[in-house]
Amino acid sequence: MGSLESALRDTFAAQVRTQPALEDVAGRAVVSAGRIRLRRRVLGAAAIAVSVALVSAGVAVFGERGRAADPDRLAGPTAVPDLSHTLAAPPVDLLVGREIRRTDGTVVALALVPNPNRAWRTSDGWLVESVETLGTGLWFVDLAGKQTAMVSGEKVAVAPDGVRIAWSRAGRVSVADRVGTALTRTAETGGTGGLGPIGFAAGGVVLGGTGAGGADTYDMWFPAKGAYAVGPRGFDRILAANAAGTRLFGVTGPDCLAEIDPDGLRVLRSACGLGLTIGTHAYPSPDGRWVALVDADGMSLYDLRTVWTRPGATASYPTHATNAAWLDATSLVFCSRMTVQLIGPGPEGPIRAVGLISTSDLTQVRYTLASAEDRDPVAVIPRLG
Amino acid sequence: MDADSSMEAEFRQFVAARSAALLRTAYLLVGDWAHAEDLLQATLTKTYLAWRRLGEIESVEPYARRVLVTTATSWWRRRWHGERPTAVIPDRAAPDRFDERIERQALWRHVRALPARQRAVLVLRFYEDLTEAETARVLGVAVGTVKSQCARALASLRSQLAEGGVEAASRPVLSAAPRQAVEPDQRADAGRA
Repeated sequence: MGSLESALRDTFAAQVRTQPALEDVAGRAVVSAGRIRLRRRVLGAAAIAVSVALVSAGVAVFGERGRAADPDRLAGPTAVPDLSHTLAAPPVDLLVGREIRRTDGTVVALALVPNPNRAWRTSDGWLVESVETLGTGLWFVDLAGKQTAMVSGEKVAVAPDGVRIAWSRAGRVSVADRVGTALTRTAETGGTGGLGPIGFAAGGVVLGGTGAGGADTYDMWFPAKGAYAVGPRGFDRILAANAAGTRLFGVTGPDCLAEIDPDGLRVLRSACGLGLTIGTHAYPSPDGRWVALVDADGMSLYDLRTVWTRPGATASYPTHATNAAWLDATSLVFCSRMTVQLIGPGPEGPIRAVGLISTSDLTQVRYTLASAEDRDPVAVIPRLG
Repeated sequence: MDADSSMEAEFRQFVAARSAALLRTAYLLVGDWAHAEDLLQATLTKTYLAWRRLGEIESVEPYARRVLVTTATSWWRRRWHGERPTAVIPDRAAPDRFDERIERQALWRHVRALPARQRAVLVLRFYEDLTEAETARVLGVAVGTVKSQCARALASLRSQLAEGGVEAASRPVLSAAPRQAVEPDQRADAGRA
């Protein structure tokens, strides 16, 4: 084999030497686009109608629509699901293509947000991350569906309280409190060497990015202490912070889950041989007992009280998994291709599979979406605050 | 012919001319033909939705390619396209030597395991033959990011190949010399034949 570049050229050319025939992709695109336009018009008209109704009624909102718009009602306690029942509605808001599908069956069309990628439920709406031509954006979508661009830059991060947000742009990292669509208490720093915000912990901002030599690099910035100062950078990868923000979880070595002290980025404990991959994502439970590790091989739950001394999963679901969110301390929702699976407490153990909901079923029941957007990936929307 | 019919006819003309090439790029980005067709379909739908504001036909293909790549990387970011069993790698048309085919399969396997953004950089640089600046524009990132992502991807591949005992891994090719800018017409002839 010659140089690696030459080998890549040869390999790519060989891979596409034969390809399947395409059948009327133009026709399907035209039909899909027509449906999307129609749906946008319908949803736009519905949004206008709702807005007019809300304005007419003043601040007070009554009836079904009012209850549906009540964030507390939307995020009420999760009932223990029927063990054998296929759920009829998503147990958590979902981001499906350019829509937020809510637990009450309504849909918020994200007409203005380019390429929605992730979303978080806040007390007053949703924060939606967009993948834009020149980087990443963060939008606020209120309960009436109004969409407002908040920040744009290379990276954005949202704190577990749903209030603090951070973003990086042109070598500067900023953090602020979001109040509605306004930003207050803004602090800014430079000199992070290209690192941008990826999360929050211990009152600080977790910074990550590509450091010298092209390796993943992480550090902390504590805005209360002033400008960023270079700390003891390290780690192969930081995955997530626990709900309290007192610990980080990351990857150290080839295959070791690490518990990390955010102050100093020191490894406190590690558990190796868990089969971590470059695409593993971590979702710590709100009570700090569990961590769900999700990747293409499936979703596995680890008990953080025991995994450090006895590395092994308490429960594993070997189905391709994409992302997850905890509903409460014992109930977790994760996406697996076109399904959203809910696991929670059951009689056969601390956690077991209890339900399955197909987004294509939802489509058949509530929508007419035979478009390409039907095949868009699904993301669960965690609730913050 | 009304405006809508004219627009659809132009779109169909574009698809007839370019869909096969876009499908090949989609395949290299996502790693299997079924998802490549899904990606192409989504890309064409978005392109048709934007057709009116794209204006000149010359601006359509760069837009479509950008949508293709950003949609692919966006899907990956949600872990949609993880590793999955693949069908037989379709490289049998060429009378390759057996060991070369084995090496290509190993290299392709490692390419598929790369993060989506790194894989996209490799595909744009070494399949589409885009310059670093053009790759940066398609991905919406800085040229420096393209350089670092490319370097990391090559280093990762070299390391993986070395573990598998493949010779190319040891060659000093990490600091890939910038490719000479290729005129669009040349690129169209060379990369998408």
